[in-house]
Amino acid sequence: MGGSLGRIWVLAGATFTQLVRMKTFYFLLIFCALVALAGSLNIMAYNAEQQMKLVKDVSLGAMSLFASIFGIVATAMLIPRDMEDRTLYTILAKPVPRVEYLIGKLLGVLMVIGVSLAAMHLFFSGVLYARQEMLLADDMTMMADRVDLTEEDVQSYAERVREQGVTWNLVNATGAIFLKACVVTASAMVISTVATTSLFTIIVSVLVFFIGHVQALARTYWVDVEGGGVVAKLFSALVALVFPDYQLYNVIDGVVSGEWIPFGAMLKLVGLTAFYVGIYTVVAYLVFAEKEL
Amino acid sequence: MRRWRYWLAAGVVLAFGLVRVPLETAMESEWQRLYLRGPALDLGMREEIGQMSYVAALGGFRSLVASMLTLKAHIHWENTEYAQLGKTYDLVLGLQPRTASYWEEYGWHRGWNERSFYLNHPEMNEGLRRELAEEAGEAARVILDRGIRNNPDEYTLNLRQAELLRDKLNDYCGAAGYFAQAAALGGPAYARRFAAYMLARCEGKEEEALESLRALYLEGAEQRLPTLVTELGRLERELGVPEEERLVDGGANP
Repeated sequence: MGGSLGRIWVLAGATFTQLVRMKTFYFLLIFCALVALAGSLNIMAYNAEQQMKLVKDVSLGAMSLFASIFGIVATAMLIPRDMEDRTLYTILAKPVPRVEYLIGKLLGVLMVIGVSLAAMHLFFSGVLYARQEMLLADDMTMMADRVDLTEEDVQSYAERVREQGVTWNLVNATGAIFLKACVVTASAMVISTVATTSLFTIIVSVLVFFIGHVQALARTYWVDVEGGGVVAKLFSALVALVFPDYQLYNVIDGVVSGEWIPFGAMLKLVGLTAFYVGIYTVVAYLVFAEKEL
Repeated sequence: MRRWRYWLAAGVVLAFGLVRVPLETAMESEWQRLYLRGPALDLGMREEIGQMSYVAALGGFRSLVASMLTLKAHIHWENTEYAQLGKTYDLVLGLQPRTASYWEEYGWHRGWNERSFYLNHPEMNEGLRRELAEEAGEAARVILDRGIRNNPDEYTLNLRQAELLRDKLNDYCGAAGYFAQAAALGGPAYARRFAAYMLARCEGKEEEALESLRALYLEGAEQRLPTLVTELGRLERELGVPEEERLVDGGANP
């Protein structure tokens, strides 16, 4: 068991290094520029809350996009690239079970996504905090002249603004983005074990990604709608059973609007993700175990 | 590769699906209860916001699309294109009905900006100007009420509605209710005072207003602002409160 974990860790580390050498972290520079731009926009008609919402929207949107695209593309490229470089044969010639190879690769990709999201989260929180304090200072100066406001009112306003700024809830949002990326990556891994080219994996994974965002509609039609055609019911059942529900991970819209994600809800999301990743790894292994390479 | 492995893999996916569908259905309901999931997207919205934005909204970038649309609405406002501004805000609010500031802003555009635009329009006759301004004010009232229904815990929307009724629609009785509701939801201290001031201007509610104003006055010096003292004194005189019972310039002043 210890040896198995050790091998997985070595494979994950090697995958991480391989991806870092592909200069994937350059995306972070683009992200920083984007967030800095959103943070410096000064729209006169926007109040503090709306200005901060814009920074959160742009930052979390870019993080979500990066995590999902990276999860698909990196996973699609890894196995074919290992075959091209003949690294795969060297690894599998050693006593490394194929399931460990798959888990190692998956972990490596998730580590790069995790590190990138952590770096983006820190940068974006810094920009948001600076913006929050700047806007608050401006508003406080204006409020100081208003005789109808008590000290309590001013403090209450400051609290409201801070609730829209840097809070622990943003960590939950970044966590949800990471969890979604885990499922996207694991599903791309399943597809890459069936596929023969990276392009096929990318195209099919992107399709799965989009269908996953409307899976809930099919599920509702299958489970809740009475009547309807047999073919339509069968089709919606198939979509609901085969495709993951990515909408469950899209909690960032709620977070940006100021809704709080309770700890229990986060735990459920973590559990569902573990379930997805576990099953997808089993499925990927079933296909990959005796695949002719 | 042996075919049975493919069949087994497909079987695992389907069996996993059967297990997770009830879990996901339960989670979806919980997310809706926690407002973590917005309302379903209207298919008609696709034509309005464009294919790419619709896909982006479906793909988890609903909030970002809403933010971009508000920037577009801002440009419509700068160009005084109020019809387009209204259409754009309808889309924004369809995407994010739980963002109170969008309702606030839309109400402000219609109730203040659009209304003033019509009232001061140099090419319209007086009757048309008044009619359009009235329509805009009424639209703002409806928008803010919808906002309140979507965000029942937000005091700011109650404040904005109260201000609209007080400053633009001259509905002091309605304004009193919204100021009181804002105060009950944890709004600023002035909301309670304004609820009482509005009641004082609401026909038939003078007794109630007097009670509220007296209660505020007795809370201490921080509530005895010039408007409160003036309104209380006026009501005490108008309602014929005996001099020895009056708080303002009377015998009951503590």
